[in-house]
Amino acid sequence: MIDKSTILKKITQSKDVKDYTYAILFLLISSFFAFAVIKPVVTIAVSLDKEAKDLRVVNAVFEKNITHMVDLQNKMQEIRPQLFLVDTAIPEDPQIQILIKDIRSIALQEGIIITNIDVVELEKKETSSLKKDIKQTTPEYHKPITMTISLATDFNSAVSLTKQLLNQRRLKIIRKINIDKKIEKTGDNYLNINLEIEGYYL
Amino acid sequence: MNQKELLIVSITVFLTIVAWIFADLYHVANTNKVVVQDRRYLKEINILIDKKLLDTLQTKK
Repeated sequence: MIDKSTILKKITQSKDVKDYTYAILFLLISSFFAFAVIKPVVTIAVSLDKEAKDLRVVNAVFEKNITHMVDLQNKMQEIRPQLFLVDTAIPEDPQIQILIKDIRSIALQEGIIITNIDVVELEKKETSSLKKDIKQTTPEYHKPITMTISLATDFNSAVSLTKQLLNQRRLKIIRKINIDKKIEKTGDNYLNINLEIEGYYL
Repeated sequence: MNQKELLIVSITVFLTIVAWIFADLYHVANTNKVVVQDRRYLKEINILIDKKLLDTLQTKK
């Protein structure tokens, strides 16, 4: 049997052994403290600091947005009497009959014969998941209604019609104009005009 | 295992724990702590009301 006291004596007597033992014990105890005490405390401190910074940023954005919303609300109050204009320009529903009625009324004023009106079927845009994703990220502010109109008229009336069309409150664009000259057997000349018009709704 | 080897092991353990602490701190400092239900609220609202446009619409029939 080895006597414990003799081993301890040997250890304490040798300087090298003493130094090594102190160093090893120091490192192991430091490691234990670093892991069990310092790490959790510092982690919590850094985490709270980060949270505070993030909250400050979020708070600043929210404050800015609230101020902006209040400002917008005031502006909306100012323009409230004019808001119906926006609804007329871009209604919530397609309101195709009103669109056609507008075109008909101008044609009637100008004495233009409308030979044909075709409304392109309203497309459902969510055909693929990719398009769905795009729609979610970039919201569509307006949807188009396309219609083609065939007219039989003279040049001046056609110009007047297009001007009046674009001067209406309901938002619309003339995408294409196709003009054909027609000569009747009776000798009458007229223009056959095909218009592709795009109206919009929300 | 002699004293020298034990010292090397201790140094390795110590350095590993120090590295672990720094890695953990880096992770914590780069993780988003604030959970906002809808990320859209974090975007600045930028809506402009163009009164001229309304005036233009007013002139139209």
